[in-house]
Amino acid sequence: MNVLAASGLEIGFHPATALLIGGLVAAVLRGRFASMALVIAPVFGLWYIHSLELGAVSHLSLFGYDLLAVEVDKQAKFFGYLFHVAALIAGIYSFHVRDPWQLSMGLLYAASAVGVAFAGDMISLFLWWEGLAITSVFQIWGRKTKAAEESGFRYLFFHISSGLLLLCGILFRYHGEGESALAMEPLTEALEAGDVGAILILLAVGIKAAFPGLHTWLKDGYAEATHTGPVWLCAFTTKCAVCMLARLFPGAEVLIVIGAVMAVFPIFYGMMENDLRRVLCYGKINQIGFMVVGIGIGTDLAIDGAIAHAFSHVLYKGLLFMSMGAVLYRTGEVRSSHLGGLYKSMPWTAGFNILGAMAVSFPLFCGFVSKSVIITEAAQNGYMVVWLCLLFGAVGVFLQAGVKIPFFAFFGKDSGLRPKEAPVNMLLAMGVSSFICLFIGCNPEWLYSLLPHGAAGYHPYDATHVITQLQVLFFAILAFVLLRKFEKYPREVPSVVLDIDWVYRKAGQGFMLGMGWFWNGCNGLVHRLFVGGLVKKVNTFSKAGQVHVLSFLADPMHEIGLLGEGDKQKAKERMTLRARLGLHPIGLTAFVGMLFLLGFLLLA
Amino acid sequence: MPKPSKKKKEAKDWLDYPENRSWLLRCFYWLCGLIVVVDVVFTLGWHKHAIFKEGETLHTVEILPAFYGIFGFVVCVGLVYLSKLLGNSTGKCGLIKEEDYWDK
Repeated sequence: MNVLAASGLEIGFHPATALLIGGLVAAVLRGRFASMALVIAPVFGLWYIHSLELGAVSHLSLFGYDLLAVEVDKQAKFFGYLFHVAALIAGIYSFHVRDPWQLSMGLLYAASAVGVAFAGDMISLFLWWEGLAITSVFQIWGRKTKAAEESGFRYLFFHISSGLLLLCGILFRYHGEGESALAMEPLTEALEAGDVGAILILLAVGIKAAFPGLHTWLKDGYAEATHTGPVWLCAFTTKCAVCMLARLFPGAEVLIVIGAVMAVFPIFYGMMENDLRRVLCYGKINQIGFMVVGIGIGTDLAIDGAIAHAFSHVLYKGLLFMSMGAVLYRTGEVRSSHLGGLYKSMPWTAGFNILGAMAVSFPLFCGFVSKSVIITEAAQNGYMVVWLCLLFGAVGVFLQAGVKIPFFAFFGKDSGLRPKEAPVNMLLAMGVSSFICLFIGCNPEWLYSLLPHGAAGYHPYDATHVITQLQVLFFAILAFVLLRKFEKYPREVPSVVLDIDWVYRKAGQGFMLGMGWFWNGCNGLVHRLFVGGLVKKVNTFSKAGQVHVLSFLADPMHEIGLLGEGDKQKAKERMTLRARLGLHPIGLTAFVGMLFLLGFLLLA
Repeated sequence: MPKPSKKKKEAKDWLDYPENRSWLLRCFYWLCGLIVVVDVVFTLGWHKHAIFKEGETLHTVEILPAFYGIFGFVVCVGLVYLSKLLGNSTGKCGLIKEEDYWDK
């Protein structure tokens, strides 16, 4: 975009340029060359982000408006790094894929995410926001099944709605405030004052952040996506939403409540769900809940924690999605009721999955050093109930992502499946991800130094923290072990779990059927009355009207002697017959015609 | 610890032997116990850094030894039973439905 308007550039290229070019190249090239673009583009992009100076901007003229297309600050750079690392890992993971749509759209999707992170004003945000929606759906449609196609449309419905709500919000604010409403400034005060524009913008971001009730696209879309799809999907859309929440709504109290609900309710769904990728999706909503709470608390440290956790979360959730993708790729199956004992033939994948599971919460892994910032800040600021919700969420998500998934997929009851180990590129991507998870866990200051406020004053490796965290995790595993031992843990059965999507997938269907019955009924009735009834009668009248009129007039005409002497009935029959055969004397026809004309004259 | 013997068809893994599995579980139970002991010793001998400020209701509860362990255990057990109740796969009103539910 910026390349076209080269005159307005203060920084060489748009930060997303490398990914955009990579995406276009991947669309044109075929085979391994296209896959090479997946790996090379993020590396160049990463180097470019690193070279960007803080405070740099880039303007762009579009339709006569001067847009602030890029603004480089610490948060934008942080998410820039994150999205490029995620694109690189997902690129390596998807190296074997030969579908140009998935590959090129994957890179363009990453480019849109970078565009969102660096957007300097609301209009450029909106353009990239729409880009996110359109490019991401190909990771779902790429599976080429009917279920994936339908799910992709449902996914698109949510995300296009999000874009439209964002546009509505921007326009509302523009009408109220003028040009200043387009600036990328916090809207927290406007939101708390009940500004409609701010509420619409929060809703738009809320759809992408999977707020409760708006979250079903996530578990619906990801579970139907290709085996590589969720690795791309989990890195960008929701993290863009977190990035925008941190920019636009820091310290909005309503986010604390929303985040706490998000941290708790998906845990129950995750427990009931049989599809292991859906379990991960619910875990994902739960973890975004943590970030939303952090942004809602609004202190520098809490927002740092939320942003840091977005980084960790992309890495370990990506790792878990990668291991499940490998299982799906090799076995064609990802339902826990159909899996088990895969560690025998997929030991590396099992190992990386366990590392991903540990990265959720264990000391020395990335989840430990970022999630705890938010939990601690909730406690430090006196949010007791929220703290309990977060701790509950942390334990619950570990039980699912950390215990349930590795156990039912790789250990547990032997399913008899003996698939091949995952391809080398997948293992490499999982290896890179695991390494970064461990590296950040062991060197948190490296992550903290990239944060907007440097997570000042937070030290994750405190003896109390390590001991209490280990205790909570080990006792969660203990509960699982004992419940299994005493056969109290529910059996995994092939099933689906009803969520809010029931409203539009079943009740909505019922509504459609009801409406169809009502309106089609009305249509039928009107058809019967007018087309079948009135029109038929008019038709009959125009065809045989004269016969009826004359037979009606026969009696009075006989009375006054116009039909001559004779039997009244016979005269009537004769006249009707003549009328039917068109054998009237001209005079009579003229007389009736005159009567009609007189009637019309009187009526007129 | 018994050593796995070599088998002909599919070589049995170390984990395939029940005695190895129970050995692993015993180690795990000991580890859980050890963590509680460390917590108790740490609480008695050193100053525990509670994350709640002093004076907050949860401060005193939080610094109790094994609070986090008990919390984790209770939450997990509660979660399993509650989700069983919510799912109610055999009943009509549960959230868990048969796989072809959406296609009906």
